[in-house]
Amino acid sequence: MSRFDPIELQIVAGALRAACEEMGVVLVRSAHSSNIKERRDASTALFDRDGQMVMQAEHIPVHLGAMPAAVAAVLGAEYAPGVSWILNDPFAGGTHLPDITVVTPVFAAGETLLGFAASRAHHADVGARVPGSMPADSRTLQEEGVVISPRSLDEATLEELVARMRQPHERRADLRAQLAANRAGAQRLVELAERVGAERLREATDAVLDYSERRTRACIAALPDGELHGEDVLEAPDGDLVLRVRAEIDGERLLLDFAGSADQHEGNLNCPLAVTLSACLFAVRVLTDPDIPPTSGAYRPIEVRAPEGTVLNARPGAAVAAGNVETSSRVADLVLGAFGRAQGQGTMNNLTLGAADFSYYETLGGGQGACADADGPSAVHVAMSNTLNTPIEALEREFPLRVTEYALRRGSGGAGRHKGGDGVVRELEALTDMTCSLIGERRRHPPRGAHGGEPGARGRDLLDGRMLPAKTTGTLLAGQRLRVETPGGGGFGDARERQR
Amino acid sequence: MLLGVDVGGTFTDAVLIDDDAAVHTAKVPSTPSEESKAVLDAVRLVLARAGASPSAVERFAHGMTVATNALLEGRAARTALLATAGFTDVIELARQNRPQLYRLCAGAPAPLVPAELRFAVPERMGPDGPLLALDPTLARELILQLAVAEPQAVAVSLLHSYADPAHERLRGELLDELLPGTHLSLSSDLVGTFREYERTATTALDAALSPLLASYLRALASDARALGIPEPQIMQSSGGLTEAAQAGAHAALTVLSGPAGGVGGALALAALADEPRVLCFDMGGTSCDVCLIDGGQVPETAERTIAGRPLSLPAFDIHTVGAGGGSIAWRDDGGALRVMSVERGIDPRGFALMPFGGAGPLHAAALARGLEIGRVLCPRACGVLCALGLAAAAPRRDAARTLMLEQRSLSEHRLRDERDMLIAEARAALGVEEERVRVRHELRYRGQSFELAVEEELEAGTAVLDPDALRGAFARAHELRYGYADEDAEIELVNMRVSVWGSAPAARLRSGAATPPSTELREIVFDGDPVTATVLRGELPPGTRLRGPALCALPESTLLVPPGWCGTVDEQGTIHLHLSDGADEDADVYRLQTADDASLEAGTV
Repeated sequence: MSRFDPIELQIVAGALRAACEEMGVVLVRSAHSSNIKERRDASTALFDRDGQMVMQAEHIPVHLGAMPAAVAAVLGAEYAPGVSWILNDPFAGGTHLPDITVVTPVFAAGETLLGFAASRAHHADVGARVPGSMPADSRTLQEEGVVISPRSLDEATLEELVARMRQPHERRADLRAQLAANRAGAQRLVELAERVGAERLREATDAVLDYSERRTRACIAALPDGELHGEDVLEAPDGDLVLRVRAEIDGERLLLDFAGSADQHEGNLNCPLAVTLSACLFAVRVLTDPDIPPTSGAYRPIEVRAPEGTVLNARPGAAVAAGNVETSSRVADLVLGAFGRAQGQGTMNNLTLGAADFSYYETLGGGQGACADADGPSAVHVAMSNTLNTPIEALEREFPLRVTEYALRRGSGGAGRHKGGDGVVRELEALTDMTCSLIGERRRHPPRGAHGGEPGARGRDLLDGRMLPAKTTGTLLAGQRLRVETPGGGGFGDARERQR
Repeated sequence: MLLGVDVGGTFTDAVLIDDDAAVHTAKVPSTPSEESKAVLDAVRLVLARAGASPSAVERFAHGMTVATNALLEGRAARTALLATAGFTDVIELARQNRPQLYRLCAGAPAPLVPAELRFAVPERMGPDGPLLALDPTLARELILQLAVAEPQAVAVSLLHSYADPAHERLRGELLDELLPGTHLSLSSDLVGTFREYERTATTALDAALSPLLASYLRALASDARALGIPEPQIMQSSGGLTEAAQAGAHAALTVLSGPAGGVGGALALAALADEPRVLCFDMGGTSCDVCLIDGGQVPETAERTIAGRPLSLPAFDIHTVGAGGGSIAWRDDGGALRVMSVERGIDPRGFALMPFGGAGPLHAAALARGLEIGRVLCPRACGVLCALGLAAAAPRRDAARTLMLEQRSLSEHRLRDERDMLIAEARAALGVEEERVRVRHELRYRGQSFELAVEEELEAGTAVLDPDALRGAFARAHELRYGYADEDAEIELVNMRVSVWGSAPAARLRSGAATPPSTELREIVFDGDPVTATVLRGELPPGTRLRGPALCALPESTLLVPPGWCGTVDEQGTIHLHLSDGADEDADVYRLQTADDASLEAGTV
């Protein structure tokens, strides 16, 4: 197949990467909500006409494997130039409801389908019982907000949808920003097709897909053949849910099988398979070569199996708000742990505060697990997220909140030849009454160390000094203080061997 | 005569523009352990080449890497930080993102102030004023405590000090009284804008690098006096000059001065070539810096980083793309340049491309084609452009404040008051008659968290922007950059920045080259095909005409002219290349006959 020399391949891959990055720039810069702009909780990607992802701008790992699922959900529909599609249904191309994906079919002159441009952004609110649409105690998908099955997006649809969400003005602006991003990507794809010819472009994107596949195969082949096992738990409100993985390395192929994991539960830690897949692909990128282009080709040698009806492949209708943010972190931990890595904080510490006139969503960093050759960094997002914090000086202007402390949680990282990173302490005081939803993990079980390293400290959440359960939905009254202490990372190796 | 001396990693360059606008250059090896030695060597050499005496030098402009090297090599001063109680770790918490998504233990650089040198100040400002007043007795005790740690420099960064600097100032006065002689940087004074992490990190960097820079500049000033040339004026990251004393007091202002000199040189040459829109790229062996000249100006930003640390001070908006000339990956850079342009709301087609740095001219034409750019400008002094930029720069001072004014508080009266206050501050700091005043309004729609700038040049007799005009200008800027303007949304004035410039030397340059270059024919491989190209060696006198395929071996770099490109050399020695449409095949390009009678063209008029 390869009629492309390495330089030509680099050029096409570079052009696709630049196009995806340009989409990301347009989206982040023209969105209105701080969630997308300050925290960059968004991803953009380009696809060929068969729905193969040919490049992705990597902002948020949790969107890695889930973008192809979104395009697959609209594949084969009746497209028309200029008409985009929208969805957020976790069981039809989505992940959890706040992540809304817009897919734009791209046509060359003569109306032949070239491919698709897609953008996904975490919207600050999509309806639901509680502002921010991240309820800690939801039991069905319907409770978590507006469910959008794949549908074409015209102006009337857009208005109808945003009317059912809080801050419709902001939602509208953010969705328009996604449309603008897709337009930019579509234009670049069309230009590329005009420059090299549609058929040649097709051959080139095939070559990029094959190249990514070859490099992934080479990395897997370098791992010793055999089976690895891992086990961990999710901290559901009514008890732990056990997750299991069996990793089978067979030559150039990797199988990750989650058979034996808990059945889907009544709460919202469930995942659609796309989220489990994303978490596995994140772990594989960490374990192989992060420079392999993020395309569907890179994922061909990897098979992920999770029995239907388990928490990692829930049936339609299940509540999933926390699955995308928390269960995905645990799946990444599970796979990395099976390969002998120390665990990071393993949670995003999701905090959502809101009232009729505002919603504020933030995730907090913590300790990274130590590596075989380095300490784990402190106060960072460790796995499926990499969003920025909200500056205190911005937060206190925009919301009726005061930050009373923001500090490193010293000593929370596990000891070891290399130390786990420390978590953080963030304490907020409410200035008016507001609803509060807190979704955390690693409150009952600490992140583990590896090769003799100590575990990191468990996380804690306190309301005016009283311990809260890890999953809480309630009201924060004016004057009350909510304190979140995030987990530390696990250490690596025996602490007695530590240099210095 | 105007003297500019730029210290680079390998060479120290000097440019002297004499009173006839002729440009003299000198290049000597840098002396990293003692940068001033090479500076003086270069000055002596360029004066000798120009046959000029030191006393003829009216101004000595200088760009160096003393502070930058100290930062990269971890030679910063022992620095203490005073921060609001409960928030002393902000400098280490940063923005909580990890630098690399999949290399999990790749950390950010360690903060310049270690935990044991961070002191908690019992005070609290809110966005609208004090929430917890600063007790002077407690403050005094804290400073005495700090003195025990014997810091060489102190940074003060308190929450919301951009809105109300009273607590920081009080603290500063106490420090001056109790720790005289210790370097002091206040965040409200140096940065003055919101976002606590970036402001704190910038202030700490300023404090940590200033003592070293100040001592270098004091020594250089004394050497300059001994040599009989004026004391140095220092290049800032913004492209303007400042006095050595101010530079030594605030090292953060000059930490990106190296590339700023090159941009200044590019600006001067673009103006002389009458090209208002130029995409400049400075390509060395390992990296490539890009910037856009639009409307005769280079956009500025306060969101640059240096060695992984934020720098919230005005700087030329220079974008570093990964690959240098030594890598084949530079062919990717076309895409990277486009992303960089789009991010800034600019379509590069219609721009001219200006390459400089050792590797730039070699790749310029290919890069231009990829970007659908049809013109290339290659400066004669492309190897010493930074020093040229220094010689041609103007003095400048800046003042900035976060205002966060919502639409309803945005009256004409309020705008004028804030502007006048900042102008007075900047003007007082400049100390000489200003030639130019610019007000930059950083605005956004309410709810957004990135700002877009609306700039206004203040000229005597012209009306200043009122709130309606500001709103209109912002809507146009938003439309241009993002493809839409929101008629219903409220606007918010986030920051106001004022810049004042003193007079710039008259921009007039003359190529010194007179003798025609030597020429020969060589077989080279171009796009996989062998072609016979003309190779020209030496400087190209004004009026020289070129036709590709040709290679110009310039004094400091090589310009490749691919088949299909033609060019001429202007009065400054700048080579103008353009894609030929066939109309250039006129008679005054003479032909060289080769042994096998292949006819090729090159030469001088």
